Amino acid sequence: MSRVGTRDEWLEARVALLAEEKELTRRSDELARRRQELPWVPVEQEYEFDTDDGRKTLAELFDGRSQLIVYHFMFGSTTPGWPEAGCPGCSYTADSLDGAALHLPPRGVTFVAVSRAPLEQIEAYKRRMGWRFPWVSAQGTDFNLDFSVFTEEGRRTGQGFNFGTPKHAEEIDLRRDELHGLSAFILEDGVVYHAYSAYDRGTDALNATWALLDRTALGRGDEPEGWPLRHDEYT
Amino acid sequence: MDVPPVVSKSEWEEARREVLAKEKEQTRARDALAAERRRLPRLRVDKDYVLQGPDGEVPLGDLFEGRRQLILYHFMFGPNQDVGCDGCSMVVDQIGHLAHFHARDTSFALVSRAPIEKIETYRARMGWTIPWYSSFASDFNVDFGVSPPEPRVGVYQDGETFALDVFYRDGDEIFQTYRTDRRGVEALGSVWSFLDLTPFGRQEEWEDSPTGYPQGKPYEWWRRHDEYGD
Repeated sequence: MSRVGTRDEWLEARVALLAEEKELTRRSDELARRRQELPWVPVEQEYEFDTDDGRKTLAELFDGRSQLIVYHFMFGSTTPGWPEAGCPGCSYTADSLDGAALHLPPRGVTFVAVSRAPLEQIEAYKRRMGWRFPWVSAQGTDFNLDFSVFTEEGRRTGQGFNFGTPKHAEEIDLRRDELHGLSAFILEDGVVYHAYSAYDRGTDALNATWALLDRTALGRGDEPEGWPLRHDEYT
Repeated sequence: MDVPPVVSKSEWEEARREVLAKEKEQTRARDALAAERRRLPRLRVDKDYVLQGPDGEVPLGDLFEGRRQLILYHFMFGPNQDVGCDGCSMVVDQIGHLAHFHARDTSFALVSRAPIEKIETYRARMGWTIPWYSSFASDFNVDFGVSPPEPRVGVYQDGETFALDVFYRDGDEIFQTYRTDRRGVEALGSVWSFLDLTPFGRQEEWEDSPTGYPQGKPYEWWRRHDEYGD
């Protein structure tokens, strides 16, 4: 356990640390800017999802907004807890996302979780956990695979998780394993573009609304009047 | 609107990889900073503060609920107001299920200057279950620099400000280990981001912590929030 100090000593140590924290904050801002400069890739594949409102295309998941964040929630035949429950780690993240996601639609961003489990299983588990965010099934589509590997070789071998980072390279076969990650899409003139994806520790700062906006193609933008509001006040 | 170029998948992946290298650098810098936080000196809390809970008076030590660590968010809710601050409300919406904090020997509480009756009404409206205490009859908020000496009429939330403090308890002794505010609070939201501010950190074995800190394997301690048991 660290030593006990006087107010002056604590303050001095805290202020020194603050300088480094501020540096990290500024670097986060710079990274968010770099993310927003990433090129966009048109999504040419047609996907259909099972939702509690019937079958929907990827464009329809935007729900009338221009930006979409997808949380790839591990809930499939190879995840722990199957068939009743989704992955515990994703559930842990979802507990934070559930409240944060309420504040995204007023910023023009729709949030949706996507899993390979059938919709009935998703809805039963969602009720159990008390979550409110929309959650759809990609059963029967390659959606999750397509947004975990981006090369032909990766699709063939199932290798290349997290853009080919060597960590986990051996153990993860993306054709077989469920994937935890987050992707951002943007809809412009009727065309859906893929702008961003992150995996592994790249997602661990993501649960706050601001951090989520930093991951969207357009970033935070100017903070509009009337945002944020209390979550039951958005119309 | 000046938007980035539209490219092929392989060009996008190349650009994404460049940002990824910087993101990884940032993740490691965040870890290093959290390691420094765990070595900050502690400050003894010498005064016996008594706050109000829904069932009456509560000494500061009881906010730990028997655990060793306490994250305390100073929620802006002035005594003359009927509803709490909207920005603070968004912060609270993002606090994950408390079961995950409890599993790390950490309690979470909100403290505001509004009287407990107003707090309880607003808490019910927002559907929150997080423990929330009133410092209406205590010097706590003024001493911790989040309230003016007297509530300021006509100023947002009577002049309250927000901050997040972390405390550590050793028997009956209470120590403050950390304080952050403004953009430091903005960066919070995931359970990990909060645990990174506590004296023990995430309590995972890869962390650079002082000798003897509680640590276990990552990705194994967590459970679904209704599966932790007692």
